[in-house]
Amino acid sequence: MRERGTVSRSRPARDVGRTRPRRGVLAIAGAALQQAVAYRATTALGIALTFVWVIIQYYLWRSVYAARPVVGGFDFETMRTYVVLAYGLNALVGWRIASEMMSSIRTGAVTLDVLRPIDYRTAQLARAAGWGVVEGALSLLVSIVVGLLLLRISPPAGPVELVLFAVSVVLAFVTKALLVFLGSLLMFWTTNGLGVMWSLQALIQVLSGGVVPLSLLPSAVGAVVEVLPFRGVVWTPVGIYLGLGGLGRGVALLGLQALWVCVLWFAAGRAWRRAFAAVEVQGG
Amino acid sequence: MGDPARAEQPVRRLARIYVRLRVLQLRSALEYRGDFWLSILGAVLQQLTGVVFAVVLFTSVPDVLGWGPWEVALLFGLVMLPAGLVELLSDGPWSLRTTVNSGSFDRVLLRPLPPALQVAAEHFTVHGLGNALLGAVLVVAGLTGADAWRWWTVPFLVLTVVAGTVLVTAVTFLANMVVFWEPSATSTFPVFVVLTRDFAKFPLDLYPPALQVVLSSLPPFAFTSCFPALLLLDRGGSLRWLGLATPLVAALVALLAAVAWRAALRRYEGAGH
Amino acid sequence: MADVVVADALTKQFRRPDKTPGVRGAVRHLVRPSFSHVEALRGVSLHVAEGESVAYIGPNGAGKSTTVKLLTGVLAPTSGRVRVCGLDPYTDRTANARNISVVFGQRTQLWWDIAVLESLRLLADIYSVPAASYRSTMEELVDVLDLGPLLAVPARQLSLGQRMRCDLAAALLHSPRVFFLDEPTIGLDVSVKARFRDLVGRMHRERGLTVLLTSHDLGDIEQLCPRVVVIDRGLVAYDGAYARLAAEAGHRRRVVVTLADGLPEGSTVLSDLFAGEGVDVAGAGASWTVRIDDPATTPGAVIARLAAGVALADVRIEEPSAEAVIRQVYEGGVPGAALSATVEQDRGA
Repeated sequence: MRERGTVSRSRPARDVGRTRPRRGVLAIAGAALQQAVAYRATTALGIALTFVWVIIQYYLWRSVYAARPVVGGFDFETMRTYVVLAYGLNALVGWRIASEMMSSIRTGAVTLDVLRPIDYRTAQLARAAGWGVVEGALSLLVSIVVGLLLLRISPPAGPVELVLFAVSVVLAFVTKALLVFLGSLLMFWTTNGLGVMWSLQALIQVLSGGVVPLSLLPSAVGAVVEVLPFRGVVWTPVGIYLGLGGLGRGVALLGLQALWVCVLWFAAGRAWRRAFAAVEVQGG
Repeated sequence: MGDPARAEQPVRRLARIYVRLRVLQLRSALEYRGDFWLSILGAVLQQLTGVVFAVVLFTSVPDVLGWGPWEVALLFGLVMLPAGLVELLSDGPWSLRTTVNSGSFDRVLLRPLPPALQVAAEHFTVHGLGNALLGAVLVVAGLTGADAWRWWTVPFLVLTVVAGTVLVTAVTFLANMVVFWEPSATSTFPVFVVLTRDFAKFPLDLYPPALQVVLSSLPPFAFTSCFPALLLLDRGGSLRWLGLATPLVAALVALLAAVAWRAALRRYEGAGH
Repeated sequence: MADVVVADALTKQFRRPDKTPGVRGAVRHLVRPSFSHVEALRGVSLHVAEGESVAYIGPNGAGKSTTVKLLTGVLAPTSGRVRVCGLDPYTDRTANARNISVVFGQRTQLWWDIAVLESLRLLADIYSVPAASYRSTMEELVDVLDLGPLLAVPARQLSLGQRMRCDLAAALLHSPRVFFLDEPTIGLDVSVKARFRDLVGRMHRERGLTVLLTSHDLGDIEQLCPRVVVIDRGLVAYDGAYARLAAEAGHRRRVVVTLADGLPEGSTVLSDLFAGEGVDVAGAGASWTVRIDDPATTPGAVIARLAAGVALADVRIEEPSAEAVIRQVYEGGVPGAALSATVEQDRGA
């Protein structure tokens, strides 16, 4: 592969001792990153596109808070911060990564990936990481900058929280990428990528706290959603950033987030083998 | 040439062919039954995220600037119903980008039918069905919940929804026509233009004056929901009478789209020589 | 007979934006756009009589597709005049569409997911074909194109050859007077190509259809089109009979001989045999070639001369291949003066 060549050439010499798969993973991520940079105009426009909802929510909450100081335990500043960060975190794994995964499965590029000496899950995650570095980091950056300058969001609760938040963001990325990966496997049974993607997006958005803080949900629903893996995408990192419930709770949440990443990782492996076997049997 | 088919009223002939094309495409969509339902599910779920947001909002606060849950439901419905109808009836402009760039737009110019009609009927987006149904439910629920039915509500609604559908169709055409001038354009621009209609799912006085002006002019989505809702809900002072202007605004945008469409056809150069 | 296709001094300029790559270039273009003009056609004239069958050929980028687009009303000419069946195709697009039909190779006009018969019915409706003539045309087309078993099948399930037959039916359903075929046999395998040419030829003869064909496939031209128009860099380079093009502009026939006793290179032993007779002799050792430049000289006479002068081990006659003829025209090897004289002759015939 051309991309692999260029990327491995640019790697420093200390890579030589590493195992082959590791180099392959970096190569895949690097190739995706280059692609994302090549499409930077589209990427930037895509980020602006989803910003519409941030603006709507900002003004909406502004009117709400004009009449009362606190809603569901959040004051206006916390809510503003929440809206902006939720948007940025959601964009970490954007529609482009999902559609790339789906099209690689649909067009059969998947079989090429399978032939590589790299675990398929890992390959897809690496590709997502490549895109995510550009698409996600850019939107996170935009939202934090715009947030701090224009919407005056609050800074992290403290230096420790900032570090925990950074770790949590990485875990959030892996969580969402794995969820999208699991959803993409449906492409083995349907050609309707758009339908799958929209359903998946909607599900993750609502259950992760991307639409409203989970604490605002009715308590019965909230109790269930609080322990599902989806919260790891938005609710956990934002909670840590805001210092909700103190440091101890933050560390515990991080543990739960990590636990779910492990579970999803194994689930993804199993589901992938099943899906692939099923298709092979069908002769597709 | 005196063949009898030619004697038929041109408008009736075009309407009949348009309906045939639609029915045919609905049947094509039904060929892939699993996809059909998945599309509808995906669209409804996606729209439901907005609904979930509104529901949760109104379980925490009784109203926003005096707008309660039913009034906002009406706004949501008035945005989604025309949007769904447009997806169902004339979603073709979205494929202009590929047909113009690949040169298969030639075929459109080779048939004895108006090009715009062919483009409008080009493909069929099943998920429009989900959006239109959800929109209709929200409109009815909103009006019932707000206890706002009056003798003129139904005719006014019909007029507004028809005008709104025309308006959104014209905006969709305009936004996608960019490809005739800028062949390398991505679909992001038209998506962005059309997505600004989400602003109109909430009362207009939420936004700062500048944004209000934009929403009533470029593209004027406020006329599909915000202004008619004022009239339907009997509020908003004299601003409500702008609700009556929706058909006029729709006609103006349609006229603009027609002029731009003519220019676009003149601009078309096809692919390859 | 009246000319159904009339094109006089057609020119067509395309405007291409001059853009430097990257965001800066895009922005600069937005502020102060600059364009360069590409002249696709520089004055093409073409007259086709009703019932004629004409091949329109030329290298890529010569202006073939542009001409077809001007004649079918897809594009408007920059200057010049077009009439097809007496109508201006661009301003009278809808009326013109009923008189003509266009088949693009590899692009179907059938609807992908529905049965062929339904596509055909819908097209009949779009073209306002009266019920009676729909029935009789369909009967004929189903018979000639052998569509019977295909009518109930959705287009996506057809093989390329089957789809081509159905596309022909779709194109001819409204009984067009002028039939444009744009690279119709691209991607078809040999037997399907042969069948396709056969069918088009038959439609041309039986329905008095005027056919205008662009193709890279010389088989199409040889079998279907007695008249050839060659376009090169936006100008007509040749317009006349295909046979004449081959005879006049092509590589001449050549007699290739193997001598029993070799001759050194540059030897005039063989050329001395043909003093003053339009031939060209070249070769070395045992292998020599005699190119016949004068159409009046026959290969037989050449062989007789050779046999009389030297001992021959082997003799072979090489006919000019169609490919070679066209290639020579493309490469600008048309002896212009000699040919333009024949153009009028052929047009009159």
